[in-house]
Amino acid sequence: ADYLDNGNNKMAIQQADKLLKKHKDLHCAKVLKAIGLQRTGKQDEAYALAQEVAALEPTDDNSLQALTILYREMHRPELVTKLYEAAVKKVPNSEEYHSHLFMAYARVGEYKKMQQAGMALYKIVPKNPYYFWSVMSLIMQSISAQDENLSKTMFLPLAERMVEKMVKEDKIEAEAEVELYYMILERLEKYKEALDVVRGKLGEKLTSELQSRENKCMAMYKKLHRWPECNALARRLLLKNSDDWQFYITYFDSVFQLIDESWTPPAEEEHSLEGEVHFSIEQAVNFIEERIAEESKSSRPLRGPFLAKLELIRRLRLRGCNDEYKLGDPEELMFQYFKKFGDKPCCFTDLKVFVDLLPPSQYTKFIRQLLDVIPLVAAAENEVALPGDIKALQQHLCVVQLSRLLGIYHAMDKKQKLAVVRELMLRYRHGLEFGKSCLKTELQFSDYYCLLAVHLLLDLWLEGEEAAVWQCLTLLEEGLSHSPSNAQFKLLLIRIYCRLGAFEPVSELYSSLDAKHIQHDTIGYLLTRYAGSLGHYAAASQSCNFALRFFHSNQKDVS
Amino acid sequence: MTTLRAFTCDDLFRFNNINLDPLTETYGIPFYLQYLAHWPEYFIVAEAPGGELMGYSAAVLILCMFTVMGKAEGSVAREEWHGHVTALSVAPEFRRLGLAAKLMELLEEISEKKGGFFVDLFVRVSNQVAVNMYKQLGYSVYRTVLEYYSASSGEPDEDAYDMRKALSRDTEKKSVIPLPHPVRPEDIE
Repeated sequence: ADYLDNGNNKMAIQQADKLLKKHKDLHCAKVLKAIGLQRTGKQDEAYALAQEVAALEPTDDNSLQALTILYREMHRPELVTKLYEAAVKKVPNSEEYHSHLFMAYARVGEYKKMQQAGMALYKIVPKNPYYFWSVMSLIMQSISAQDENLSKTMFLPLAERMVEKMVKEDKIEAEAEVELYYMILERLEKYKEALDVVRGKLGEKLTSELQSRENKCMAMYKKLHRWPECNALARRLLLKNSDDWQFYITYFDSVFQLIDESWTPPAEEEHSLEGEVHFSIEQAVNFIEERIAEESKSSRPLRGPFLAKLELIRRLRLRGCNDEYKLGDPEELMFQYFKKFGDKPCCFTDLKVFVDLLPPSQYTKFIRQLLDVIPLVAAAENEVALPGDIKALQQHLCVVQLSRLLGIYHAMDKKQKLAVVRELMLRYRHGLEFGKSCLKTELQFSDYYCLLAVHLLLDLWLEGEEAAVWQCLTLLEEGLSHSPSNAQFKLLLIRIYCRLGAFEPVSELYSSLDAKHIQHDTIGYLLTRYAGSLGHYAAASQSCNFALRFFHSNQKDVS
Repeated sequence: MTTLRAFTCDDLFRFNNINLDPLTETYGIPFYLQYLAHWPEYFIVAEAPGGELMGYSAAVLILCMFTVMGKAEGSVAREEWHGHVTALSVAPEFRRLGLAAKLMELLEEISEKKGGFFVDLFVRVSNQVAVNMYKQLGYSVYRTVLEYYSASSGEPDEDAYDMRKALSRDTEKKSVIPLPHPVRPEDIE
């Protein structure tokens, strides 16, 4: 068996034969020999040998396990089920064999048989997991059922009853069991019941995942359209963590739903199960302003509340009532945001979400406003004003990115664009100063300048400027020489080279990305598309091989 | 602004902005699936308002022998749990936001809830940025593991620091007393 583990199949076969000479019917040896055969490509022989052993319906552990391995490698999982079916017939009280049988069924997706195997196991040893394996199998049957009705009227209710039985007998132990119960109720669309479970005693077991109970409650409130609860819960969670974006969305959604329903709180009782509710725009505005005030006190303010205010403006605009509430102009708010957070790389991606709130006529003014607050210093009269430190550089980068997003470069003519490219590269080279101490594995601070210059040139190329693409390549290679870990440079280079039909540099670039496993799927397509058609068959086959290996092992792993 | 939520299978298709960082390891699918199956509560991802993935963390709870002072005389070796951070990575464009600290805080919270004694992690000795960050979060080097990281292409294997932070259960902070000498990967329990 050791030989097999080491991949030494020939030796393994030899050893097995030696053993068989002495003990003709040693099942295990036969199976190990079969595995050796299978791995050396002699599939049919292996299969024949395996079936010989299987026909004898072995019940010793070694043979069973070895056969399981063999069948799995042959991609014949259904043979494993037959194997263990025979085993449990012979040894009906074996907890172990029943377990293996259950697993075997799981591999082939035979849910009904899984259900039966689970219950059989439970009868032998009444452990909760086995019972719930059965329940889970029922759920799987309901998911895979062709007839949706059957799913709702048979499988799920049966599963529900099974769980209810345990609940009544107070036998629920594990958190996973509560999760299953919740899942069943949710699929049955019995949202109220699901909610009760989570809020009740059973829900206390839902401890592992963060905010598991709150998240489930929230999901149920939404399905039940119980907006007061949605709002109150969102409000509470935001008070705990004012940076959690998903709850701002829920908070806003629910406030507007309540407004549309003209909801008012009951005279005497609690607003809702979850506490106080905000049901008017004024309240929402106040809430956000309070969060902002809170954050402004902190030395490291969270971005959440500020962005929430912008989101609120967007919502009010959609409803056509922004002016009433004087929240301020989006331009002003985004400007303030930039002043606070402009030196963080994420400032651009944050603001990107809200640029549609700016009127196009204001774009240039907006950009100029942002530029004015960045501490830039010009060495001499006609020279470009440059940032004095990393923070200023990052702020300037943000503005450049916004300029591109708002289309300011797009509107320029060729001459202007080329001037911008020159300026960006000047800034790029200047910015390298700040990154002198960067490690090989870190990116240069000014890399983005280079990238943006290249993108501008690419735009020109696509508009017909032939020469531009060559400059792209030289700039990118320059960037890569200073920042050898910058994946974006590499990816762009790969794409440009491919489009130009030059495949050779691509394979080296790709391997320097150190892409593995799933990345062969998500990134590898860039290469494999072109490799064949560009005549680099060896390289093509290599990268296809990587991809193939990945998909192959993926199939094994995911099934 | 960050949404912190459980990692899902689909996120595997979206995490290149994080994983193309040279110091972030991309594992085979089984690795991620195992974590989703066994430790989903520890597998957390942060998402930005625009939908981009900002960073993620994955951890497990491990049981191993641990020496604890008994009430009576001498010390007693028992099996105790500790949290082990297997992966933590933030995309470059979302750094300097305190996200890594937040993710570590969550992992520590979950480990506390599960009764862990300490939290530990392995980090490349050369990854100064990470080592300093963990030190700031309260971690200290417990021991060095020689040649823990196998190199990809022709370069020598690299050592790892095993850094630890004691949780509230370890009242005497025994878990973080550093070992006087380095160990090899085979010596780790």
